[in-house]
Amino acid sequence: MSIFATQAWLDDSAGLLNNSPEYAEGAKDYEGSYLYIVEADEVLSTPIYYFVDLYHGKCKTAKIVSSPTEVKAEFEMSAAYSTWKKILQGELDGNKALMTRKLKVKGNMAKLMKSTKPAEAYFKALSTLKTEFDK
Amino acid sequence: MWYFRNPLIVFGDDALEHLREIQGSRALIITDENLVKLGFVEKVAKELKYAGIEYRVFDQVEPDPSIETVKKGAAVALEYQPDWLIGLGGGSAMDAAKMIWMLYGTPDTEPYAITPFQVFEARSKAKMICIPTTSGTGSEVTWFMVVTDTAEQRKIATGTPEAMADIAILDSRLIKDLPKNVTSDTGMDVLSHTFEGLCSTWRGDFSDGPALMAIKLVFQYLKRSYDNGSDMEAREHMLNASALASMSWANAMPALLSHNMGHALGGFFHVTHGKCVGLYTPFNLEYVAEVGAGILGQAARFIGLEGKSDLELTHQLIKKTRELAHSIGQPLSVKELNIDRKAYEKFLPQMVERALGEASTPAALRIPDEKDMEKLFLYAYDGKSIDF
Repeated sequence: MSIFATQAWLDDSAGLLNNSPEYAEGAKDYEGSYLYIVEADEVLSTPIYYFVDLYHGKCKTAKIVSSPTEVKAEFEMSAAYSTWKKILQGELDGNKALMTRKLKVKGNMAKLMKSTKPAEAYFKALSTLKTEFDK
Repeated sequence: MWYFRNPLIVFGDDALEHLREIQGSRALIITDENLVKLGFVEKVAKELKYAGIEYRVFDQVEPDPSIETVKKGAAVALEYQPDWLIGLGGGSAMDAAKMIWMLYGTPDTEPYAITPFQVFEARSKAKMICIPTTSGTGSEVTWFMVVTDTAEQRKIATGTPEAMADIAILDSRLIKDLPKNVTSDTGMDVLSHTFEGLCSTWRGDFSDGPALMAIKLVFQYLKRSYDNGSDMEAREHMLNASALASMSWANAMPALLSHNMGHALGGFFHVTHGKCVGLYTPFNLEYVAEVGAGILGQAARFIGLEGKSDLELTHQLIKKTRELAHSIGQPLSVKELNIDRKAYEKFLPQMVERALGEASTPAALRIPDEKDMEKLFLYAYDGKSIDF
């Protein structure tokens, strides 16, 4: 088990994706890159940024970055640390978080809305990821 | 945290007269040619004249409006610069009106990009009134829109809270002459909507209330309005039921998946919306009967059914749903629609993918995998009760 939003956690995530035949099939035509922002809140004092690059059924890159300008991502997903924690612990539905704008997304919305199949494959592959929270 | 959203609802047999009270200078009425010929636009125009509001009409909305049509409507709006948009008609006209409104307010967006995750500028330019002439899709009280990508033979179901109309006018005089078949199809849409809202993991006290009332009204008045279109009491209650049912699912997600499956069928086989979704509803209810027995049992009791357990009541409710559908000329299987089995099976993989791919799927009480969704489609083809 690895701590949320650390390089070890990202390595575990990439491992799950890259070893999932269902993800490979479900996202075989998909290309997309994401900057995730874990916003500071009452429990996290400084924000954390990480970058994930998905390419044709594989996770090419999953890495912590020191600032949002370090990478060029197609999509940006941001939420407070406590919101990410609730989503990952299953206390808050991700779609509800988006619709109440607790989780914010920026990028090509048309592409996002057409990508439900690779997105479902992505979340399904990561559903067994064990995450620890140190805050 | 969640929300319960709806417009100002004006109801009753003189509701159209509320248009005399609105403030503004120009209105764009978005509708179809048929409603112009039937004199409905003239009724709306008469009230707008009282308010001193000039108007223009965009009457090119077709059933299952296409992306091309809404773009044409948006171009008219951008040229005319109305401060009110009025969607007058069935679901097609109202959905088209809401989409045109979004494109008018944010001209550099496109239908696929309209999501609940961003802010759109529509209300800075105009407000929206929806006036249904069927009972109905309930589009007048939701922020969802369905348009068709004709190139991909796909229905795009999308929405954003900004697309909620400011005012919904429910005037039962406008549905008095609804033909029997339209009364039947749209009535099944209403019934399906009530279950979509009740069978959602996002449901709650606010969304349950309207759904329960809508179910009661449908079982009391749909057959009456089908048998006798001049029964104005039945017409009025069905128009109200239509709005109530959609207030429920629109605030809870339409998660029974009958609409998911219905959209997929309609995209390939061009069957009317209400017929599609109504047909799948009993099968979807059977699929979630065990896990949904609590709320479905409650609904059954609310309409006066009696039974020893919630599950028994749920099955009674499903049986009653099929009986009602049959009594108003609705098919109880896909094969009754004269859709060739080979053709149905040819499109089955795509229908399964589309049905599962809609945004509401994660909110279902029991989420089918691909295998179960395929079986749901096939059982519904044969009219076979769900046993898995």
